[in-house]
Amino acid sequence: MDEVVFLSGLLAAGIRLAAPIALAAIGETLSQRVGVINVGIEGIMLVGAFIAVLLAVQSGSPWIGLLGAILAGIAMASLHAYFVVTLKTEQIVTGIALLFLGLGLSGYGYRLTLGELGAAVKVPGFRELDILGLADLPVIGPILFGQHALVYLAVASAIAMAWMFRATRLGVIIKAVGETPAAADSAGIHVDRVRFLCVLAAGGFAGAGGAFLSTAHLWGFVENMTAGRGFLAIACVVFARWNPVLAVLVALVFGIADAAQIRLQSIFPAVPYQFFVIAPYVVAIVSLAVGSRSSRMPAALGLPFAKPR
Amino acid sequence: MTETGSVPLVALRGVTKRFGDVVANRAVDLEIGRGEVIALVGENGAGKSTIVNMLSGVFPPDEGTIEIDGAATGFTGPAASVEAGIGVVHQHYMLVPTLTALDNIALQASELGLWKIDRRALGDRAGAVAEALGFRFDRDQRIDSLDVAHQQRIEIIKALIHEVRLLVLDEPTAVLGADDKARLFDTISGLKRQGVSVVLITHKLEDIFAVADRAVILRNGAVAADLPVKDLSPETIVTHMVGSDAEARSELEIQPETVHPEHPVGEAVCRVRDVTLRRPNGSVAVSGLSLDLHAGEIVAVAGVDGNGQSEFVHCLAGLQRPDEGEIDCLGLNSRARTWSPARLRRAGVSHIPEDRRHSGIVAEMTLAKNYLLSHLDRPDVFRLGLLRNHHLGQVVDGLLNAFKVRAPGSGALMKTLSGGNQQKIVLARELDGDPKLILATHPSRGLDLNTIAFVHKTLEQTRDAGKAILLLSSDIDEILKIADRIIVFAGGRTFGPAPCRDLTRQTIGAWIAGHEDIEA
Repeated sequence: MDEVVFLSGLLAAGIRLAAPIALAAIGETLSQRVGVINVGIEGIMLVGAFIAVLLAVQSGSPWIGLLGAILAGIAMASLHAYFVVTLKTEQIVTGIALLFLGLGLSGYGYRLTLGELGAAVKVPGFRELDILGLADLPVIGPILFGQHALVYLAVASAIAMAWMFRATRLGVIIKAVGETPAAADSAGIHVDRVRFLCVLAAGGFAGAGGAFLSTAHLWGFVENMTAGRGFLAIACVVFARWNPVLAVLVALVFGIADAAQIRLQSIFPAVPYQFFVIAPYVVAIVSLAVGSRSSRMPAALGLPFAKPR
Repeated sequence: MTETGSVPLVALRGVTKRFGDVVANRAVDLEIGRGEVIALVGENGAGKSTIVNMLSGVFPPDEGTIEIDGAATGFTGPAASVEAGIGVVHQHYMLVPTLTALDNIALQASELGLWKIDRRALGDRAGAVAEALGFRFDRDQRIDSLDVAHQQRIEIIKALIHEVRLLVLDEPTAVLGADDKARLFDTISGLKRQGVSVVLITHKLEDIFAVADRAVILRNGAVAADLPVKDLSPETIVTHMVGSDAEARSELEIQPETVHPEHPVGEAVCRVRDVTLRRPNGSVAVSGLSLDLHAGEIVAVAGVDGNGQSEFVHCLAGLQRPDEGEIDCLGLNSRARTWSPARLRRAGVSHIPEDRRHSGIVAEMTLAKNYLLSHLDRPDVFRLGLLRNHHLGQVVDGLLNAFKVRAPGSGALMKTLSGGNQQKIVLARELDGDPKLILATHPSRGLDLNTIAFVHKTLEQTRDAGKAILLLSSDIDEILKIADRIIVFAGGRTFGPAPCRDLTRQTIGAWIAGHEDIEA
């Protein structure tokens, strides 16, 4: 029975750790499907995490914090969109700039505002839900019914996005813009407008992922608290072959790897803990090496679209 | 305004379009009547595609107006053109390869809104259009699994899903085999009966006589002639196309079936023995292929696209190996580890690739650097491992002169040249440096008459200089004109090789269709 409890706890923790990665990965899937790679989502997540804490403290509601984080994510993404879609700059370089901008803005902003108050700040964070009072069920309770609201929202939006890609004309348009923008253009679609809006939406998801980190997973902001999760999200997108539901599942694998390494540290105290900390990143590298062989990325990914003269 | 017969459906009035210093269209007047089929002809760069792009709302004219039903119209974009009842099938199909046929149609159907696509209703609509055209329509096939003829049909269905009054077809026959071409002409005639006007853009004289009512001939961006087809002969069209440029015309000389003089044939440079080739999806494209290529002859490979011709050329170029059997070429063997593009090139195989834009040139590089791509072994362009740019420039400028390439110089970017001039450069590059075997795949596809004549003449001269040439072509006229022997790939087997002079056009046609000779 001990093993079952251990596994149940591991899974529940894995889901908590996976949620911010999953949220960012859902957004990045949308962005890449439309042909824009954003390697700066790490920076967007950091700004989201900071804004969520700031607004939650000031308003007393984590929901206000979440809303602020989403809007901040959209604002950051609009910068990316303006550069890569409108000015047609190199997407990777612009994304890296965005990463450092987010890193600096969030760290500096925190020191200017809440950091001065020291550790005394009390952050009103999200609590796990208890759906239908079933969270106390043995084993499956904490996994299925005792998660944060954002976890359910993430799963729902991934499924909604998959449905959108498959069944709606909007999905067809997005796929066409990321695959053959010239064809979309000749069909009367404003390629750059579609790209711009999708990049904004992706920013909102990354902001929400940051908010989850600082108001649900932990209650507080620490500089560079994302620790590479934005990049793991990009790995999820590629490994999941640009499918939002698969991206959530891959994020779950990373999350479980992360949860496992924390537990393994206490089981094997003799092994230096750094070996365990790298576990999720090793999983990411191995999975990319194995998975990328058969994956086919959107044909116009990373390429700006120039209308014929 | 009343609907009278005298008001044309679409009219261009004094339309001028400039790109920088280049005038693409100069004061073009063009009227398109209802149910009329117009052939828009002209050489590469004569301004045909510019007219298409203005009609489809891609960009507006700089001067002049486009009138629809007599009223001046300013298209704000492609959607406005669709709204006005103009459907366009572009030369490079505007299809998304990873989507299904039906989703590609949905992409254009903005009236469906953004949300759930009612695939059954749309499929029925598209099916009805397809049926009226006599097409078989598989709505769930992905575009990249269809051959070009089927892709073109999807494009036509896509255009006709809306009520279309004018259908513009940009070079629709360039990639089609004879059967598919005939079917396309039937489709055009059917549309005409339904009262749809058609603008057919083409290089090929036979297309004009097959379906068009009226031919509008463009030269240097302006209308050189606008005449009913029944008053035209091939000679008059050519005269209008190339103008009074005597030199240009002398190169054209349309000869009827040329008599094939005997060429002294040298030793075999390449032996192909019992080769089986598979398509990328694993199915057998051709088996039991045996062929010798000799110095001083042109051997044509014919057949409907997709019967293993591309794979065969890829094998000879070292890009793949035969699945069974073997090839001996210039001292290299296809089973040995040395069978690679680099080794074969060094041994004297040069390759004029099928898809110029994809594997023939680098559009963003200069002409000189493009030349260098195939001549990296050339000792005189490097000194101590550094590129001698000045010397390279002189070499390439010399070639530009010899091949009459219209380009500002070797330092120009490849993408600034027209398709015909790009092809000339590929030809110049691949024929330079004493190759022994030249793999020429569709060397004249999509080129204008002048350039085609030039390509043919160059290939013949190269053959007479004792080189072996493998010509991959889907154009029987081209094959009969310059090839010495022909082999046909059809339905997994080969017909021939046989000397061209022993064969009639009918026999070759039967072979391509996969039949033995039709007995008289």
